[in-house]
Amino acid sequence: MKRYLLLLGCLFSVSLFSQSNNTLLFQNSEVDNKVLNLNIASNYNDTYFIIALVKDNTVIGQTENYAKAGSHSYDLRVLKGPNSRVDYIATTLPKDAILKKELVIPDFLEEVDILFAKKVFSPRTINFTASKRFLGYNFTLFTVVGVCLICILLYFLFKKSFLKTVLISVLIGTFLIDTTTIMGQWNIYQQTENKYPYLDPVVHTQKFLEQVRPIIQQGSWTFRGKIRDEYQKLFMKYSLAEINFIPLGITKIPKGTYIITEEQPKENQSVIIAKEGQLFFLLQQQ
Amino acid sequence: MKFIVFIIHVLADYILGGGVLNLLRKGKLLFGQIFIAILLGFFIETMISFVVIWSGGTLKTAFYILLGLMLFVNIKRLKQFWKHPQVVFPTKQSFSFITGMKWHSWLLVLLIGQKIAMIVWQLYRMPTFLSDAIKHWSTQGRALHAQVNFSMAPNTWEFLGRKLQVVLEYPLQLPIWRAMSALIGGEWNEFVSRSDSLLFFIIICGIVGSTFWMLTKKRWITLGAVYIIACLPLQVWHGGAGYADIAVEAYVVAAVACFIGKEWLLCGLFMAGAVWSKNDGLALYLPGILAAGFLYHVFSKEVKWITKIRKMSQFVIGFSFVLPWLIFQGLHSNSVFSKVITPIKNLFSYQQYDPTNFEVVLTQVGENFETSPPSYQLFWEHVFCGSTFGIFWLVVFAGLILLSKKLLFDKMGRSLLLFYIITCIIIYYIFTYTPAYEFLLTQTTIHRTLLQFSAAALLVLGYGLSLQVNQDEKVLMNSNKKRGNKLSKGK
Repeated sequence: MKRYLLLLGCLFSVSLFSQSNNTLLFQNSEVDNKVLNLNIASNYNDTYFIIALVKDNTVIGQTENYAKAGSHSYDLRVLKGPNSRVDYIATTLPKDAILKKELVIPDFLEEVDILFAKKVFSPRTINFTASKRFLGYNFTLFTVVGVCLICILLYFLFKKSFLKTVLISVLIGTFLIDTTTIMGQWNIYQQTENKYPYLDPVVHTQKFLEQVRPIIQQGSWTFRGKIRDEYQKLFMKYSLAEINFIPLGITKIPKGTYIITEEQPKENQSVIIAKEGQLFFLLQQQ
Repeated sequence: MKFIVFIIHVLADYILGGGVLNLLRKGKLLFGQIFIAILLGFFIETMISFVVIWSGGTLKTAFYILLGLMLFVNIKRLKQFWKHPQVVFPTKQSFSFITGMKWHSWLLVLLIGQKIAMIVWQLYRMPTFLSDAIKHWSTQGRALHAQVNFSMAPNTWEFLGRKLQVVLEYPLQLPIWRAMSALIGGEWNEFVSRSDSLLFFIIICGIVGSTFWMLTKKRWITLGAVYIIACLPLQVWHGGAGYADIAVEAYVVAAVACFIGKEWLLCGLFMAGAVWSKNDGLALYLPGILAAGFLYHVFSKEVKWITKIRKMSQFVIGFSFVLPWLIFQGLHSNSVFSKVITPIKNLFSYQQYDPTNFEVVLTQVGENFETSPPSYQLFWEHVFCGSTFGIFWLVVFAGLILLSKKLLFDKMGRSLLLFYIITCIIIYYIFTYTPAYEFLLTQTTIHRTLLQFSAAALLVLGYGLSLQVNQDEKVLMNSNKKRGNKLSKGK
């Protein structure tokens, strides 16, 4: 994991100041135990962005976030000890997205705001949930401590049996964690309903397929040349699985076959669908 | 309309599975057995369809054969149906659980309902777009339904949907069920095609609930257990994603529930179902169940050897229903055995390790790697302290340690504990010594694997809890008796 982060960090540090839409937030700042309060413009709601901490021209820490319109807190407590002073704090959000910024030691409400950080549905949602922090600590361990305290309270003050106290405490702990999950699900519900029926990361492919399907319904189809994003390719393969597919290993494409590609048409290929700014072409072999 | 197709398909599986259950053990179906019946019907339907397709038949042929089988196994019940409808449907008594529920139990029901509502919403509003579903499960099912891009002839481009670059060694259970749903509905539908995930979610909740109820007879513990398993963050997404991990979870938890209920044939059948869902069933969970069964039967002193062999044979017979698939897999695609055994072979031969190659991270525990953290550290950070499972695994581990004495002194308890320990060791082995280490590092498959195991692990904990609950109640009864005796002497 460190290796990936290092690589990502190196790439990021190179790109950070070379791209025009990266924004410098603070210079020469102390970040220990601090969080970043940002007031973000409403048109940037849900935007994915990175906050990076840079020291000696190297990214030494970064957090991934989704923008919440209005004034909200974003955790920076990824660094501890002697590294807590950094040269720059920068973000991938553009300048006009940030209406107000401040670096503060958080109060309780800001801690709660961080705990309910925005969740966005993406292909990785199916694999894991991003880690949560509360009062600067890992939320799972925080809850375990809470469960132990509730246990002691129930056992000694309310004189419940040991088994009952443990079970009730675990249920309360689970409910606490579940509350953050439900909030995350609510966020995803709202975002999806706002965007329906098109969803990231397959928005363009969904729109393209709506045009393509009626055309190739009775024919054969294939991919040729470049399709940069493997995910879009998978989505198209699923969506068109009931239409005859010409395998990629076959060198001579049969006449009349529809070709989905990102490349310009070659000889003996006519353009059926190509729009400015669209990712894919639909061609037909002549 | 979409929902009706789903309901019809589930009902058909219930009637098929219920009929077979009725033949195996004559009697009324209790509430918990509804879920067992549906799962059994699911397994029988897909396995028979597979055999028919392999033999050169079509999905339609399989459909008519299944219809015939459904009638055949239910002839007796059909005759009785007009006289006593309760023979087919669960009786009022089966739902006695609901009567007498307190406010906190209803609160838990509400929270569990929220999960189901979220899954149904996901099925209605999100397309099939998560990677494994579009890479394999739904793509293969869609091709099978259309009878285009799919064939059972090994030397063709269409073999199992090869030209769509699906994974050839994955079992066909889910693609077949989805294709059958499309056949019943007359078209491929986004909601119906992934609704099996919702079904598995409900089955998992049902089996966990009914087993806890059977073990503890306490409503709040039962609903608490269902809530804990339903609220694992990945569970809701897998309930509508169209992946096979939730299917494995359902079959493994059913197998463990039948193990606790000493239904060896069903235990074998559901282990077969786990293998038929994804190769993980064979590699991760079968060894544990086999060892647990072996410990339970072989070391039980009171039982005659002939009885022990008969019971073990029941498991083997149940499990053998997955043989058609294992033979097919052995003949035509990469067997899962080779993938698991290769690293063990490598342990006994000297190799020059390349630390950047995840294929040979075998020595990462024994040797130091500057760039890759050891797997135990990753397990601690990602699984125990991560948000994906919250406090679930911490509680399960701590609970089993606390209850270990109780479990070790109980025949069933120590068998279940052995199942749990062996499965944990295998999971650790796979994610430490095979290329799967990469999926621990990047937090992908590890969480899905643990999701598969979560409901079964909760049942093992539940069994330990039931031993403690029963002991507490005995102590309470004894103290009440003593108090009663003292009072009567005083009078």
